[in-house]
Amino acid sequence: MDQSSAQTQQKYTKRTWIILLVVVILLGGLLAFAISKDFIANEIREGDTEESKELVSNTISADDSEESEGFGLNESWEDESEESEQPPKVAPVIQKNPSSSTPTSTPVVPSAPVATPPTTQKSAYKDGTFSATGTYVAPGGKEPIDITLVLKNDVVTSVTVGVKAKNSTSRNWQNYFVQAVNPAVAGMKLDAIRVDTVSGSSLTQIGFMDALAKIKSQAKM
Amino acid sequence: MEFQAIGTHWKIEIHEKISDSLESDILKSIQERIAIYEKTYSRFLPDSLITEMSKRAGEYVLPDDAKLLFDAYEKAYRLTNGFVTPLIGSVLSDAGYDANYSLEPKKLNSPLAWDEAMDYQFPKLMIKRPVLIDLGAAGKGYLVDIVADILRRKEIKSFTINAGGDIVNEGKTIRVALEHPNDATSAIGVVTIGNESICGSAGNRRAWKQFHHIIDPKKLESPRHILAVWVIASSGRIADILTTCLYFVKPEILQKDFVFDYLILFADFTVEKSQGFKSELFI
Repeated sequence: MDQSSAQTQQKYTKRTWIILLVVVILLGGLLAFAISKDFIANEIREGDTEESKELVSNTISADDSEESEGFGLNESWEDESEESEQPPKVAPVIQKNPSSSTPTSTPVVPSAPVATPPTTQKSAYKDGTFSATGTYVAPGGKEPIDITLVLKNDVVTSVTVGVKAKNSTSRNWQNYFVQAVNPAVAGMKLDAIRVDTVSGSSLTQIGFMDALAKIKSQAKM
Repeated sequence: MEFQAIGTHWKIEIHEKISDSLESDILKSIQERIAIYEKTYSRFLPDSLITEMSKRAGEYVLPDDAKLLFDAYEKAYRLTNGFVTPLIGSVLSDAGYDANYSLEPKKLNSPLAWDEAMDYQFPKLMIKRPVLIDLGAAGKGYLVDIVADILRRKEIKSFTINAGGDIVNEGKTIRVALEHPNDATSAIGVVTIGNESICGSAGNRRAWKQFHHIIDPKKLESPRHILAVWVIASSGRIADILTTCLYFVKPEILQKDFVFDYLILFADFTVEKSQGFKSELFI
C-alpha cells in the first residue's frame, strides 16, 4: 500500500497543480477581457468616424457608377426599383450623433454597435449651411453637382441638390437624383380640402399593377 | 357611373336628375363606343388596326374619328420637332411597356421619322414599313371628348367625366385637386375650371425600372426634370397631347398653334404656370 499511497499523493499534487493552472488562466482571461472591452469601445467609435467621412466622398464618386448604368439597361436596376419609397443608395444623408447611444445608420453603411459614450461629448461639426460642388466622371465627361447641407447638432436637417451638369443626359440623371433626395414637399391632404374631383396621372389598371406586383415578388431576396 | 376602360378608371358624374333607364342606356352606349375605339387604336389588342399596322405595311383607310387625332399628332410632331411622335410605340414596347406588360427593358432604338414610316393624307394612311404606333399622348383625352359628345347627344347639359385624371367638364364650375405626384392622398393645389378640359401627366404611376410612361425618343430615357404637368384646353384631345408636349418644349412654342393654360411642377418643386391657370397652390 505504500506504492499506491505514494502514487495517490503524486496524483493529488498533479491534480492540484492542474486546477491551480486552470484557475489562473481563467482569472487572467477575465482580466484581459475586462481591459479589452474598454479598449475596443474606443476603437469602434473612431472607426465610425472614418466610415462616415468615406461615405461623404463615396457618395459623390458613386454617381460615376450610376451614370455608366444610365445608357445600358442593366440588371442592377432591379434592386433600385425596390427602393422607390426610400432615397437611393447614393443619398448623402449623414446622421452622426455621438451623444446618442442608439446605432446610427444610413442606407449603405451599417454602423457597428457603439458603447455608451460619456454625455459631455463635443459636436464634431459646426452648425450652419454648407455648400460644395462635387465632381464626378460621367460617360460624357466630368460633371459638377452642387450640394447644400444644413447642419444642426451634427445632424443634417436639409439637403438641396443643384443640377449643374452640362451634358443633357447627365442633367436628366441629376434631376432624377433631385427628386429622390430633396426634402419631400408636402401638399394638403385631399380629405382636408373641398374639391369636386382630382386630376393626376392615370390610375393604372389591374394588368399593369399586377405585373409590377409579380416582378416585386420575383425580385425579392 | 364608374367603370374600367382603356387601362384606367372612369368616373362620370351627371349633375342632373335622370331616370335609371336613361342612365343604363347611356352607360351601354359609352361602353360600346369605347370598344369600337379600342378595336381601332389600341396597341394592346391583338386584332386592332394599330396591331395590324405593326405587322403589315400598306395603304390603310382610317375611320372618320381618326382625322382629329392624327391632325393633332401632325401638329405636335412639327412643333416639338419630333419629340412627340405616334411612332413612340416601339420604344415604349422595347422598354417593357408592351402588350403583355412584361416591364422588362430590351435594347432601345430611336423610332423612324414620321415621313420615313408613314404618309398621312386623311382618310388614307400609307404605312411604308410595319411600325408600332402608340396614340397614348392624345388617345385618352380624345376618347373623353367622344364620350362627352354621347352625353350631349342624350341631352345631358351638366356633367363631369374623369378618366384616370383626364377631365372634361360642362355645365358648372368645378374645383379640381392637383394630385401630388409623390402622394396620391394629397394635392399640391386646386384649380377651377368651367366648360373645358384639364389633363394631368406625371411620372409616378405607370413607372418601372428607370422609365415612366413618357420616353424621350431621341435620348431614350424618361424625362426627370418635370414631376407633373397640367393643361387646360377646350378639348380633352388638345389638353392631353399638350401635357406630353410640355415635357419636351417650352409653352411659348406651343402657344403659336394652340390656346391653353398650364401648370408645370419641376423636379425641385418650383412651379411655372400661365396667367390664366386659376389655381390656389399649397406648396
